[in-house]
Amino acid sequence: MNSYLIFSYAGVALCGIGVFGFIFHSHLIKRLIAFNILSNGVFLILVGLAQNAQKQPDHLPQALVLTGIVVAVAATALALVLIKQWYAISQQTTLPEDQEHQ
Amino acid sequence: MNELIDLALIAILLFMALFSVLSAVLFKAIIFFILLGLMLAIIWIRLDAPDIALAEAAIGAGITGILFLNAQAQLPPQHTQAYTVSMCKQSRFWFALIASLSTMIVLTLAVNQPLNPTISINQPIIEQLNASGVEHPITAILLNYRSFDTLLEIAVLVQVAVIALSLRQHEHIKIHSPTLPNPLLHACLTLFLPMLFLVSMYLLWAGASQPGGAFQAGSVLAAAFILFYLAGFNTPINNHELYLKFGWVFGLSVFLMVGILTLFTGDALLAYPLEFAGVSIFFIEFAVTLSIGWILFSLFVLSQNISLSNVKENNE
Repeated sequence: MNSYLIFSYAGVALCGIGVFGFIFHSHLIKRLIAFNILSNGVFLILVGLAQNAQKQPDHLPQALVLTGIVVAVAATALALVLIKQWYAISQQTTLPEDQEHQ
Repeated sequence: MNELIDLALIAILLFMALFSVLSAVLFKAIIFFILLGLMLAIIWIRLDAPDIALAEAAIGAGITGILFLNAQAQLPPQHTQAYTVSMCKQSRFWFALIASLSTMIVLTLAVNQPLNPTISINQPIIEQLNASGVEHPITAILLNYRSFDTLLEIAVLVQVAVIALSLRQHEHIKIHSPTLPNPLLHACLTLFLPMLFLVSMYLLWAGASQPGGAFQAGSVLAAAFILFYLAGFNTPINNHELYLKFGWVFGLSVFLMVGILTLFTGDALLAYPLEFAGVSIFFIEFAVTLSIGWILFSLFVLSQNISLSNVKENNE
């Protein structure tokens, strides 16, 4: 087992933690953090798996992940703007669907 | 020995992720998320991906972290402090646990599948490097082989900035500078800011032949702008929103213009002629760096401009 494959499994674990946090929390910012952890896990799997097959650094998935990181930060910024806007309207940091179940 | 380092890194990474997801206080969750980003930056180096490591350290740990902290600081304490509902929601906990375990099982099965490496895309990438105008494969992919992707990515960033601008509540962007009467900070900044700009330009220049490039340089530039803003200096967007919008579309328009110019020579969109490839890529990267820095900075400023308390009072 080389280190590329080990990090793919670490990516799998990060994905699992991300999915757990995304479902478990109703606080929107915590959900966003879990979502970011999930995306980091996907990036690790993407690069680790490709490099494990080739047994050498693979530049194409690396470039894809690089663009992915930049798009992810833009999406996070937009989500935070939306969450703040939602708080300004409703004074809540959770969605109405989650409030009913509490 | 190397395996031990990898396993230790992974153990720390997973603990950070668990602490971040399970901590009740939002501030703690954010701090552990920032640490997770720094850990990931080291892991990307172990994965032989120094470009991603640079981007992760600057964006994942830096810009994302400050965006989260900024949002957290604006919420009142009862929305960020200990969060009592979390432990009561038994059904939700089990549902989340089952979903997470099944995700992990499916992904483990997928990772275990042997990939068939019949097509090695790496070989043609290295072989065509001479024709791309740069010496670093990742820059060649981003700005030559798959430049259309990168063009659209810049368009996505511009679009995010436009949406954020349209969500603001005030007609004019108010920069309420958090003026810190701190002469030491200002004295330090006169040293640090030129340094940050220099690092950013170095990363941009280095991108042609070694790890670095527009994304990393742009995020360092954004960090410099944010530091400048937080120290209470006046920024040009104080007076003119036009500067803001101009900065957003600058990179995209230079990119498009170079792309359209290649159409006149009879080639496809963004197919630079061989002798001009290096120069075109440098101009595009320079413009894109400035725009990425400016867009990330304005996203930070715009998210600060949403006032959270008085809107409801106005409505009532």
